[in-house]
Amino acid sequence: MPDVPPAAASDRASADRDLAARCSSGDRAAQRELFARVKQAVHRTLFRILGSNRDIEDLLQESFIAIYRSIHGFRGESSLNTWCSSIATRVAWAYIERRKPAAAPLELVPEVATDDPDAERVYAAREAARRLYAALDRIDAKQRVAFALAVIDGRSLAEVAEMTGATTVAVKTRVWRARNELNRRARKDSVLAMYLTDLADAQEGNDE
Amino acid sequence: MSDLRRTRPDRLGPPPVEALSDLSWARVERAVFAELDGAAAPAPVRQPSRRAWVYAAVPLVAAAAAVTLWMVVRPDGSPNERAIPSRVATGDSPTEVNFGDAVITVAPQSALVLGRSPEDGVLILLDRGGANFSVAPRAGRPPFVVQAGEVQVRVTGTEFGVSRSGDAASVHVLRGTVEVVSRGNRTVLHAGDSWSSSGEREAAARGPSTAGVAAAPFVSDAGAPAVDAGAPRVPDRAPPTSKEQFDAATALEAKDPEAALDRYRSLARGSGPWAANALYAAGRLAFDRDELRLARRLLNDYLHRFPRGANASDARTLLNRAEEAGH
Repeated sequence: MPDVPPAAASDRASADRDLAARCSSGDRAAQRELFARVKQAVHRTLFRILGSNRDIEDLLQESFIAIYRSIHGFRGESSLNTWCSSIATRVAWAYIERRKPAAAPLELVPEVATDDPDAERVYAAREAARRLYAALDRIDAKQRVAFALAVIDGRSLAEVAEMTGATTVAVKTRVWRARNELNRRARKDSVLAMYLTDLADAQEGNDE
Repeated sequence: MSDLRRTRPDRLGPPPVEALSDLSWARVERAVFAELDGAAAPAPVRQPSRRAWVYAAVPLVAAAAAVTLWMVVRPDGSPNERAIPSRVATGDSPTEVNFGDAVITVAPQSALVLGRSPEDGVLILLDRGGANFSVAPRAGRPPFVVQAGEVQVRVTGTEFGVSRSGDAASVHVLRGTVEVVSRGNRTVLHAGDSWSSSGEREAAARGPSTAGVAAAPFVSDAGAPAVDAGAPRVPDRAPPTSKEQFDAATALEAKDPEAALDRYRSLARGSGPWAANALYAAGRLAFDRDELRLARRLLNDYLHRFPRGANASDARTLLNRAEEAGH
């Protein structure tokens, strides 16, 4: 995360609180402004935790309704983006807890332009991601959320702790356990093993 | 392993976030605000007692059980129908989808949205590429409609294929009858007929097969891909092409939407397919930023300059929403 000058951070926090207050009072223009401002962050959070998912539109809807219903509780201690992403995290968490084992009759795949010179690499990433999320489907929800936000999405442990309402130590432990479990499953899957290594390298790069 | 890591130049990063189409966002936004508009009255002052909960729960549980049973045993129900709307996009391989009483074979490099029509029938929006449909006769069943850009195919019970490239669409009927509506003109096609939006109706030499469905890439008539919110790459060579300028503007959207808007508008002053995409993207971005007057102006300008552009249909949808929101 880049450092934000204190004055700019204060302005941003004040603008966020103002927007939240207007949303809370039922100002429809403000609610639309909030939707436009945070929609990509909310979508990204859901996608990082759940992967490609046919229920994504329903989950976005659920997230935004939860956001508007609890916006009166926004105090400006984190940015609106992070606060809304926390709510999306809870929605994703609840979804993992309640959903049945995937029957997956439809293959929902990301789109790749046919003339993209990088297409082969994108396909490899897609296959690796498919295996990663299949493995994540089989581990504890708390560990999965922590791993997805910290390792796949590249957020700091402190930010993940804030988003999940846990301590940094707890998040670190969950990520460690998730990684162990995934590595165990990757022993028979070289593609997954290589991908986990790549993600670990990327995370080390983020941490440096 | 660490040596292997160091020697591998092609490391894979995190999976790319799949972009949602403007229409998907529009659906989500509409549903959220409809839910907020219909929100329940203020919360009750008094918490109901535990016993009251038990009394209330008994009929609720019974009703839920009855509904669940009905959903399970009703003859024409299917889990897929209840999960709508859903977007299906294929990569290099075709995929087959069972949707209610229809079997849909989606061609490679295609995308479609399975949803409900206003008259509670089935509405399939073909975003790009092609698909074959095998649909049970509609007598007594809700309507089944396929929309490909401005072309609407209404099914009476048949087996047929639809393909789309930009705003151009074509239809081939293998069995039964369909009605095609395009720009207000209705055409009835029978088994063996083909139709394309260029206006020519011709007898088909052969019916469509899965492999025969055109796997058209999502390109405009002039060959430029339609606007996609996917993360573009910005090559570091000069001078930048129109596509590179467009990609650079797209990359700026999240960090500096105002600058992105300026770049789109600058690119839109030119001509060619990327000017069209840039003008649409500028309108879409202005709409996203709630600058509704500007959005209306840009989208109207797009439709005036590129009435058959690859994004014309989406531009009309956004324009309608901008006009609704402005009143």
